[in-house]
Amino acid sequence: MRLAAIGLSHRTASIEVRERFAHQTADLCAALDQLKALELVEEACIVSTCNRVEFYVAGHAEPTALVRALRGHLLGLAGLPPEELDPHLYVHEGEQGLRHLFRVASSLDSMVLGEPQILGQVKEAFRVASEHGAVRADLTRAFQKAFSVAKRVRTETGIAENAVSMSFAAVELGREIFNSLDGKEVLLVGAGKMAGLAAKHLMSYGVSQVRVTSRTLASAEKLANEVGGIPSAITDLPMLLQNADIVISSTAAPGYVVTKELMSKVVRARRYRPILFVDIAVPRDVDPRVADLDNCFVYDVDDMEKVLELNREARAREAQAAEQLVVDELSAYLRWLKSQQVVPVIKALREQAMRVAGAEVERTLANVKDGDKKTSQSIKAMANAIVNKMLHPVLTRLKEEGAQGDPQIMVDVLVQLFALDLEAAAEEAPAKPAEGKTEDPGNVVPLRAPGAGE
Amino acid sequence: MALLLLEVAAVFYAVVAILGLLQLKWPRSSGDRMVLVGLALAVVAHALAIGGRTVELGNFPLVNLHDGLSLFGFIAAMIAIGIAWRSGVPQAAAFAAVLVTLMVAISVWAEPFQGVPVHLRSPWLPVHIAFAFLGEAAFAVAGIVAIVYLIQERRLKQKKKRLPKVGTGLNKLPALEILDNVGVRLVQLGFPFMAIGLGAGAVYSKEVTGAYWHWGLLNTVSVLVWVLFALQLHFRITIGWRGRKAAVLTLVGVVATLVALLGMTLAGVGPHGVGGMS
Repeated sequence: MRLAAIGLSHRTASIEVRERFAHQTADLCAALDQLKALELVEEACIVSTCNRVEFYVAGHAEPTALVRALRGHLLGLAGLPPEELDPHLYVHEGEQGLRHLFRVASSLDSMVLGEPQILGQVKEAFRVASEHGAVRADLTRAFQKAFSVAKRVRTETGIAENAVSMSFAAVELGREIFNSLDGKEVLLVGAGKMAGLAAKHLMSYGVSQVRVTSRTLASAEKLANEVGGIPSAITDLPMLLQNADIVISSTAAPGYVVTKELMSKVVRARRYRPILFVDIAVPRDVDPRVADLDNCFVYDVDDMEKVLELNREARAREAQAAEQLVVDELSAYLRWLKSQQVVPVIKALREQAMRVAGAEVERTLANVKDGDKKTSQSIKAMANAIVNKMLHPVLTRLKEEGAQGDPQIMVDVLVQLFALDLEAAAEEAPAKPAEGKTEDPGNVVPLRAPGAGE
Repeated sequence: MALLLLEVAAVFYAVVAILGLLQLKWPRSSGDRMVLVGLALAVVAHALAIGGRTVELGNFPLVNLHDGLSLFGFIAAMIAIGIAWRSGVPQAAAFAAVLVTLMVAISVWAEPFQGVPVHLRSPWLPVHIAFAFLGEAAFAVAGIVAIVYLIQERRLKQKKKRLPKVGTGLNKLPALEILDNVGVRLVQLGFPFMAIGLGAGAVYSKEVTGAYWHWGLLNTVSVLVWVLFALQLHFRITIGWRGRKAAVLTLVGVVATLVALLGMTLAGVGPHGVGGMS
């Protein structure tokens, strides 16, 4: 596997370092050209997002050599001395590079595990490289496979189902009560930053109106401006509670802001419509006894943590399943790749033997007088049989090695012994699967691992 | 022949009920659809059974326990399919399958007989039975939805619930708002049917016994439940009364009606304690 990946992400580098590369790769096409201009590098693809900048290359050299070339290039890009840059870089050679690509595409390396954006970003990076002619067979196969693995991870594990955040939990709780958040009204009590974030999140789910109230009208106005809401004085609280469907409270008040006495009046005024309180203030703003009232649902910080914690556990389980899936897919893919390695050798060897046999048959037949049809057929059959019988054990062994072991040594020996021209053989049959039952990963995202059945 | 078809339908319902309960506990992604399709197949078999029975009798079969319960189950299953399919409460299909299995099983067990004694015949009888059963079937499904509502409400109040995972069943119940709306709509649907059924029953009673009203368990319970639901609908409109208490009240009304209906008939005295009806 002559592939290497080198890069830096939110795990290894601060935003300042990442920015240097992000700027340098802003013009992706130019950056790709620079990469391809490097010695040894045949194919290149750059994945650049706000959380990572990664360079994937493939070429006719050992991964270590590729990495050396790349690292030199990156040092130049960053304009940093090696001792400052090296701690931030991670390097994955060969199989590890593939595994890394699979994990990144599957969002297993993301800051928010399972977030859906990254797959689109990797696809976009590949599309640009592909249209720019920077990728060929090796990287194309690897990326296509990564997309299909990511799709499997997404559909077969629950990792993508939810993203960890308070606002997310608020939205999900809201949707357990109100089928859709369309047209619902959100009330922010207290102008905390968390509350603002949650409000923005809720708005993206179709909440129609956000009202903001705070002990000082000025801070209410400020947050209202930020989230596109309407500020109100805290004295209007009963009226605001009467109309709200979801209340997010985050004041620094020492006592309860929403008491049971207040709510029991409000509940009647709001005709017992359901209301959700998300109380992220410590000490709490909403009297927990409010939950005793019909159709009032109160979640404080601990409850939310519990919701998120359970969620996190479930997600960790899903992540494990996803990692396993990546490992399985990777080994199946590598097996397939190896079997692909021997295909051109088999083809070249057989062709060479058939060519020799064919030439000898021709020469012998020239001596056969009167064109005796039966005799000439027998001679042809004999030549074929000799070729097949001679090659059979060799090819069988080669296929076995291709399926299980490392066929490289055998391939090299055969190529040298018989002076085989693999390029010619490969050009005639580009990247065709060896057997009928394998699938070509160059095709649109096969779901089953190619060659998994062998 | 019709009885055989009904037995087939009963087996179908039972299988769907078991599948449905399994789906609630251990949901699979295609499970809801399977339950729904299974229920639809059972309903088709059931429709054939009722059709066959109509041919056997020469008129629409209504007037004894066997046919009445069969029709009751049929209507309830149809309503449940509608709720599961259109209103986003797939859990209704599973619970309804359990209820309908019970109904149809009793119907199979209660041997059909050919006619009503001459002194109890009246054109009002089928009207009474048809509308009463339409109303009660709607109420029964409303009761099912109320159960789902109470489960979901309890989970939300206990705050132990995790964020909804993939899938359906009891892991992902419909939103409270949906359950509340569907429940009240079913009560609204059953309410006028029940009113007509009660009225027709009174007229029928006058015709065959000479009095509009007889104090009997089913009569009393039915009228009480009807009044209860009338009050519920009234207060929902006037003061917006809804939520947990409304769901409990619906459930109590439905259970009372079903217990009275089944209790009277299973005791062998006929729904109204009038001989010859069972």
